[in-house]
Amino acid sequence: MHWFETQLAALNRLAADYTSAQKQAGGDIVNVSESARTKRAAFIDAVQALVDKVVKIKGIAACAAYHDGLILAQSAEVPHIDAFGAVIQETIRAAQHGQVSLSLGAIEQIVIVGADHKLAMLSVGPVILCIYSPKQVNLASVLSRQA
Amino acid sequence: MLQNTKSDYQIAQQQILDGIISGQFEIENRNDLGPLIPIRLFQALRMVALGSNVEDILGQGAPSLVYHSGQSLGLAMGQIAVANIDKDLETYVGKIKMLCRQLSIGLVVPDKVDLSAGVLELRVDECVSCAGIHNVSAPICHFEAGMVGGIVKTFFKRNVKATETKCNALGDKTCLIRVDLL
Amino acid sequence: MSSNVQFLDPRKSQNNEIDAILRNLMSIQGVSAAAIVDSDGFVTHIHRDFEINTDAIGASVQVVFGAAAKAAQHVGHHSTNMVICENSEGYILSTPIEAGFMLALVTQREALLGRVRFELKETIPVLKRLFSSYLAN
Repeated sequence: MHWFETQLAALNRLAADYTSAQKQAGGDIVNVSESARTKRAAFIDAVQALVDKVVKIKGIAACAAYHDGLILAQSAEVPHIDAFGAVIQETIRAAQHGQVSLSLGAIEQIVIVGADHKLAMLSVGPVILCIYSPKQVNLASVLSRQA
Repeated sequence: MLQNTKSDYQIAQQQILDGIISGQFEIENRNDLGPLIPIRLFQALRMVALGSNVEDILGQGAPSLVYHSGQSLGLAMGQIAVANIDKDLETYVGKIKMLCRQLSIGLVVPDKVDLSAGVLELRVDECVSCAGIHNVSAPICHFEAGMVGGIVKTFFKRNVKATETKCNALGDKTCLIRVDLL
Repeated sequence: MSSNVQFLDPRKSQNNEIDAILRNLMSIQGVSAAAIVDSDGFVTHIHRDFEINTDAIGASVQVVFGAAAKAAQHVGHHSTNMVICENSEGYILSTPIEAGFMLALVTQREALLGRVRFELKETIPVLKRLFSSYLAN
C-alpha cells in the first residue's frame, strides 16, 4: 500500500470512528456528544492535514475537500475553488445514478480528464477529496510518496 | 449639504418618542379629533399590521420583531422615568405606572419583586393590546412583554428576559409579565 | 403567532455541554460568534470574540429565519433546515433547534463555508436532544 493509500485508509478509519461515536446509544447525551465531537475534530483535522500534504507534492496543482459541494478544507490559494465544488456535486450526483443502475456500489473515486488538466475526486467518509493536476501527471505515481 | 442618514421611519420614531418624553400629548393637526384614538384602531395596528400581517411574512420571526419593538418603546420610557429618581426602584415604578396610564397602555402593578432571585413580575391590567380579545391559544402581548423588559433593563442596566406568563386574551383577566434579570 | 411561554431559564441552562458545543464551534477557522436564540429573539447563550448588540442580533436572526422559512413554504419547500446569509465581510448561518430556539453562527470572510455548515449539521441533532431533555424537565 503506497503513501496516499495509507493516508486514505487512516482517514476512512477516523470517519468510521466518528460514525460509530454518533451512533452510540443510551441517555448520556453529554458524554456521547463529547465523544462524537472529539472524533469529528480528529477526522476533520486529518482531512486538512492530508490536503496540506498533498498540495506540496510535485505535480499537484491544487487539493481541497468538500462537503455537499461546499469547501471544507483547502490548501492555500486554490484557483476556481467554488467551481470545483460545483463540478464535484454535479459529477457525484451523476455517478450515484450509476451506483444503483449499474450496481457499482458506493462511489469511491471519479476522475475527469481534460485536454489540459485532470480532476480526481475521492470519497472519504462524508467528504469528497479533490485533487487537481496537469493532465500528463501520473497521479498514482506522484501520490505514492509524501513530498 | 450633510446627508441625512436616518430613514423616514427613524425620523418619525424620534418625533414620537420626543413627544412622549416631553409629556406633551397634544398633537398638531389634530385640532378637531384630538390626540386619542379608539382602542380598536390601536389593536388593528398591533394585532393586524404588527401581528398577523407580519406573521404572514416572517412566520416564527414575528414575535421576535414585536418583542423587539416593544423593548425599544420600553427603553425610551425607562429613560424618561429614570431621570432624577436617585436609583429608587419604588419611585421608578411609580413613574412608569403613571406613564403607562397616561399613554393608556394599561394599569401596571408590581406583583412580585424578588431581587435576590433576580425575578420581577408585573401585571398589566386592562392591557391595550388584548383587551376584548378572547380564545387565543397562547399569550399574545409580546409587545408589552418587550416593553416591560426594556423598562426593567433601563433601571437595572442589565440584560433581562421578559416573558408573558398570563394573558387576558387567554382568559387570565390580566397580563402577567415575568422579568428575569440576567 | 407562537407562544412565548416556552421558557428555558438561561441561568439554569448555562451548563457545560452547551458551553462546550459553542466553544467547539468558535474553534472553527473564521467563526467569530456562536449564539443560541430563543423564540422571542433573546440570546440565551453566546460565545463571541467581538462586541455584539445581542438584543438586535437575536431578533434579526429570528426575523431572517422566519422570513426565509415563509418563503420556502410559499414555493413548496416545506421545512427550513438552515439559512445562510452571505455578506461582504462573512456569513451568518442560522439553524432551528427545538421549540423555536435557534443556533446562529457569525463568521469572517475567511471561514470555509462547507466546514462551518458541516459542523452545524452535525451539531444540531445533539442540541435537539439536549433541548428536548431540558424542556421536558
